[in-house]
Amino acid sequence: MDLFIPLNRIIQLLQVQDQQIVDAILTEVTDKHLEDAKTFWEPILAGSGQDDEYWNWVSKSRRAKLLPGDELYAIECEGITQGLLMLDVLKKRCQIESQLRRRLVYISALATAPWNRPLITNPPTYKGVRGNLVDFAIARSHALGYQGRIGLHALPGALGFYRKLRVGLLNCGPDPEEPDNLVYFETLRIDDL
Amino acid sequence: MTQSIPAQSKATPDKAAHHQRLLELVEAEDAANGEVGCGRELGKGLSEYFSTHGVALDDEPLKSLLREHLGPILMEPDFDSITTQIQRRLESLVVQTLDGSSSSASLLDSSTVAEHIPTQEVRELFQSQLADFSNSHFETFVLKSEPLKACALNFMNGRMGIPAIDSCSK
Repeated sequence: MDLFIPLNRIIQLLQVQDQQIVDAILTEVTDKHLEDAKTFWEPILAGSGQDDEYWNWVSKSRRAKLLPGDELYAIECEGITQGLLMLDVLKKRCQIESQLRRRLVYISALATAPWNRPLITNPPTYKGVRGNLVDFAIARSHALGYQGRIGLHALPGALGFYRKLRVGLLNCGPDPEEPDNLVYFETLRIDDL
Repeated sequence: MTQSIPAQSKATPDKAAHHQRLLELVEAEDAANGEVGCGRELGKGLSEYFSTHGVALDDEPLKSLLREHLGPILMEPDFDSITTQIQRRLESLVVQTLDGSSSSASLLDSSTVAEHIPTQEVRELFQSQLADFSNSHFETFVLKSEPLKACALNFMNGRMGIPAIDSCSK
């Protein structure tokens, strides 16, 4: 079984200003991506009230090196980091009863650059970053033999995004074991029923 | 590299599919009104989180221990493989003890399995789960993989905050 999928992957984003489709690269996180988050993202996010205002991707990366199964990826376009993704491919299991405790890829953290968010920069620079990251998580799940199953806790404002993503994510409702009662989504594979 | 959003008829099927998918993703993003995504910050509360789940990652000796004994195993993304490798490692440690100093009879005569693990630190880590296994349990324990896998799984799960599974409970 091939546990790894090719990197770097060429993906497409929508450049909002001129409605052009542009190529971008999805790759494993490097120091440059973490540096971008610190240098370019954090000053914009500071005081923004965004849910990831206090996220520290350098710290996440350090933790990923300690904990088995944690993986970090980035989307880069025009030399700048446009999105970051942290996956847990080992420690989480399915919660839906029909596929209970089967393996899945859990999206621990997912964020697009602040200039790609209409609430901060309108119009945003690129669209499609987050969706491509979710699609990649599904591809990673397939590569690991998890049949494309993913799970995640959605931030409150992002519920509409996951509902409309058309990847078979089932809204499992607020997770009582999650400190902030975030809504849990999980891919339901009906061939398991 | 940039491209205009193409008319479907001019694009290759593959490109058309990619563009169609991108438009779906954009539509989904628009529905979220720019919210960032998912995940929660454990940064400031990390030590509390680990403490709650019994993971003492701030404990330098434990980190060293994990690196020394489990480091190569923890790089393995397949959980079954992790437990299998832990099982093999424990078995090899037991065999080393047998070869070095004692007979199989003395091994089976002993009251606990844990004392046959020659490495002090590994023994301590597993002792709570192994100590109450009797001689008969030991035969099952070594010769049949599932109980040991369950114990190893619980050990790993305990380190990761995952509830224990029943097959290893006493």
